[in-house]
Amino acid sequence: MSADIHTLTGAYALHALSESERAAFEEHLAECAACRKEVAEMQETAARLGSAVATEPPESLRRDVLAAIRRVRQLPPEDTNVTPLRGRRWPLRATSLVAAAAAIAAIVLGAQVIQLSEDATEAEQRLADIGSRYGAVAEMISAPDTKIMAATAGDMRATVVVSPRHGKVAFLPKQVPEPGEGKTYQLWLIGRDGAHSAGLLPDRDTPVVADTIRGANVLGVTVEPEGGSKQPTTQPVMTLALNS
Amino acid sequence: MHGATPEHVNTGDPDLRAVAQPGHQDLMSRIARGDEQAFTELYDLLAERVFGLVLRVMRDPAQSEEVAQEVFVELWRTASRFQSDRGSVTAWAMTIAHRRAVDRVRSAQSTMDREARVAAGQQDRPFDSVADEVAGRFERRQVRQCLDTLTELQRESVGLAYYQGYTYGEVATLLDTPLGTIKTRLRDGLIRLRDCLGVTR
Repeated sequence: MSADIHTLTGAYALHALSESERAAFEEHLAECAACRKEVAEMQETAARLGSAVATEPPESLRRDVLAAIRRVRQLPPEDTNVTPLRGRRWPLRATSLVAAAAAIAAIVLGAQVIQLSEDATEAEQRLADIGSRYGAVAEMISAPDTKIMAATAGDMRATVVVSPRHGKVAFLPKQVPEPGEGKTYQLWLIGRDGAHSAGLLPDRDTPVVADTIRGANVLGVTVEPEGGSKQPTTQPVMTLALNS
Repeated sequence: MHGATPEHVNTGDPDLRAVAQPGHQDLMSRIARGDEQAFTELYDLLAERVFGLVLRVMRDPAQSEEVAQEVFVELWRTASRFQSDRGSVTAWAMTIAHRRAVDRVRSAQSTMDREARVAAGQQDRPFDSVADEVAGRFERRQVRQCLDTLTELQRESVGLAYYQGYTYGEVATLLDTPLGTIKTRLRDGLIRLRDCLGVTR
C-alpha cells in the first residue's frame, strides 16, 4: 500500500477528489481492506457532519418523493444465484461444461439442486448427473446468439433456450402438471410448413433438445397419447414465439 | 476512543436515538422487497438530514429540493444493494446525498462562477459561521465540540470540502496551502473527528 495514495482516504470520503483521482483511488480501494475500513469510518463521520446541518424540508418534498418511487423500478439484489433469464450467456472459457450445466440446473430446478451441506461424493454424483442431462444445453448457451426465455402457460412453467447458430432449441421443464393417465407431453416446432415433432417430454425434469429449429418460429407443447403423435391432435397447452 | 457514550445517546431526542441504531437492516430489507410503508419510515427518519446537507452544499432551495428527491429515489432504487456490515443506513444515505449535491454544483453550469470565486480567493461564507449555525440539538452541539478539537487548518479544510463541495485542489488554492498538506489535513481532521464522535464500525 502506497503511503501517498492512502492519505487520499479523507479527500475521497468528502468527495473532494477530481474524477480521474477518484477512479484511481477506487481501483486502489478494491485491493486495500485497511483503506476500505478507514473510508467507511470517515463516511460515518461525514454523515454526522451532515446531520448537524439538518433542515426541515418543504412538505412538498415528502409528497413528491412518495409519488416518484411508485414509478421507479427497484434494482434486484446484486448477489446469489439469481440470474436474469433473458439474454444471459455463461462464458465457458474457465468453467467446465458441468459447472455451467449445474448453473442451468439451479435456475431451472431451483436452489435445491446443489446443497452445500451434501457430502462431497454425493454432490459429485449429482453434478455428474446434471452434467449428463444439461451438458447439451450448456454448450448451446456458449453461442453468442443464444436467447433464454422463461415460459409460463397455466400451471406449466419452463425455460426455453434458443440458439439459431446451433439451430437448436432446448425445453427445460420447471413445473409440469401430470399429463393424465396414458398421456404424454409432446413438443412441436411450428413453421410455415406446419408442425414437426421435436420429441416427447421423457419426464418432468429432463430437458429436451431439438436440433431442427430451421424454419420454425413457434414452439408448441401438446398433450398426446403415450408414444406421441405424427401431428398434434390437441390444442397446445403452451406456445412460445422463438424469435421474440 | 472517547466521545459519545450510550448514556449520551439516550438523552431523549428520538430522532437521534433512531440514528444511533446501527444497521436498520430490517427496515432496509422491507424496502428492498418493495414495501412503500417502510420507505416512508426511512424518509421520515432521514428527510431533514438529507435535505439539510444538500441545501448546505447547493444553497438554492428549489434545486436542493430537486436533488433531495433524486437522492430518495436512488435510495429506493438501490435498497437491495445496501449492506449493513459496510456501514449505517444514515452514512449510506448521506454519502449518496453529498455525492449528488457535489456533482450538481460541479456541473458545467456552475463551473465558471466557482472558478471565478476560487481565483478571487473569496469563499462566500466563512466556515466559522457554519459552525455557529450548528449549535442547538445535542448532535449539533457534539459536532460543534468535536470541530473545536481540530486545528484551524483541519477545520477549514474539512468544512470547505464537505459543506461547500470544493475539491481538495480548490481548498488548497483558497487556503493558499500546498496540495499535499490539504490532503493530509483532510484525513487527519476526519480521523480526529471520528475519534471525538466515537464513530466505530
